[in-house]
Amino acid sequence: MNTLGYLATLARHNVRAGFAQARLAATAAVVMFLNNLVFFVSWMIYFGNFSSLRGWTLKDISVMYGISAWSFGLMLVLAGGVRDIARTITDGALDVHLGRPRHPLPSLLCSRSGVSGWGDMASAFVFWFWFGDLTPADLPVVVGLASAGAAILTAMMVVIQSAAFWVPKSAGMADDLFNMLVSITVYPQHTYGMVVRVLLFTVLPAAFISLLPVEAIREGAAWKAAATIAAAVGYGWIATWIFERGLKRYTSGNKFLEVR
Amino acid sequence: MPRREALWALIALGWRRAAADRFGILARLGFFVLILGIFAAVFNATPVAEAGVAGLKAAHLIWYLTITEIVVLAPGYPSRTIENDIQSGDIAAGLLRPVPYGLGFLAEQWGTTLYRALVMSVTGAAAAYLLSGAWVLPLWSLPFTFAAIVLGCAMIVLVGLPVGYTCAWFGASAPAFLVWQKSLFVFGGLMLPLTLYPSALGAFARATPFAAILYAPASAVLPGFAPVDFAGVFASQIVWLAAFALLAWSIDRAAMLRFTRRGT
Repeated sequence: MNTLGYLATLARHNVRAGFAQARLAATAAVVMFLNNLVFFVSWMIYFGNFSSLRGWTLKDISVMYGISAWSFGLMLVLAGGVRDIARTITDGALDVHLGRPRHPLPSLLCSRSGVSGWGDMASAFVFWFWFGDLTPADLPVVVGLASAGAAILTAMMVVIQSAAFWVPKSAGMADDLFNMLVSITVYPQHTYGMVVRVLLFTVLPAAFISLLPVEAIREGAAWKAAATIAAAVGYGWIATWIFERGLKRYTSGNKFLEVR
Repeated sequence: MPRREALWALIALGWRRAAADRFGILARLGFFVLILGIFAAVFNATPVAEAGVAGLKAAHLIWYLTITEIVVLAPGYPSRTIENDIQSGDIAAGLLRPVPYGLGFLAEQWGTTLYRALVMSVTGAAAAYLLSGAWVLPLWSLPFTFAAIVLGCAMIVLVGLPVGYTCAWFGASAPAFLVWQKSLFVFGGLMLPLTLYPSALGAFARATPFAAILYAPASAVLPGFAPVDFAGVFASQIVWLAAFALLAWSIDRAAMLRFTRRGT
């Protein structure tokens, strides 16, 4: 089986496993869908009081929300295992993935599917087409950019979670850092100063996930779309490189590191 | 040990645990300051005068959000702890203790939350001052505002108990938690004061318990808030605290019955 076929099979089985408890899965997805819409009410109230936020209107915020929701949802659905990497390393459970004849990272990422992600992805369409006034012609571009955002989010999560190879008791820290990253992506970043922007384009690349794609769509700027795709490839490569460096330190019995 | 002393010991234990978790509190403070930084950038770029509220400035909104975020972040996610206890079966050990599981859980969580609320209030005041460039909270109101923050946190911890118990019936507490959390954010006025809401929605939100948790303590920083208004703040908080206590007690009873009859 070629690599793409292997990845497609992994993804298919992962998604199917997520629906093993269909009723629970559907409930989780519906609740997440409603959750995103309800949270958006705050922005509707904001723009009911104020005309714009430094040039951005409710439509721009909607597109940004949709992109963030799609990115996060797609990551959860296809690569939900990314949130467990640190604990997998700590528990010595990485052995299962190392015993396979392929690179361990894809099977590790596809070891779990977060079904609530379907609700996130569904809500993205409401944000894009209802509140954001995008047209069906915009769909390929916005889905492409949001999917690139999912790749960046996954890559950053791999980097953050891989800290467990070096740092004991880092699972909690990984969760906190990831929550920080996700929190930044759902707020407009064009209001920040230069120093913060530099951070958002490097260490915490939230700007590639939700700022640059929105600006690419608003301004029709092809180079911004290209930069988002390039960032997805770049951060993916960095994540794989760091994971492989960490893997060289892995010796199964890392529980000792946690205890010390 | 009499029950009251045991509960005080659990509150002290929660406080000490929170104080010992230095990395956890640092991470929480980092996240808190980050959120404040994000919203300070948003509010400083907002044409606040367009709202037509006399005296309202970006600084008021930054301080308002600082207080609502303290109330939301200090308790953490108590329902998840209960969910983990139920799913792992650890709750069985808790049922054997002389102090009822629910009461013991609340006491420890309140100790933890009190410590975090104190540290976050000091940090939040410094951050809000630096980010807004203004000190909008009169000094005389500091202890009253902090008391209102603590009561808001206490309600969140209290509701965390029944929300966590829903795991016993539905297999997970996340759906109930998300409904509760987002209702709190929207009807409590997490991001914007209820005075900026459309009149009908604002009136409805004020009639809910969510307003007593978030809007009530944070309204102390808004222009036009008078010392006498604290009486209304505390009255609404105490009424809703009692209502939540009743809810927590009845769900706790139902959950304990279920655990003792059907296991965890």
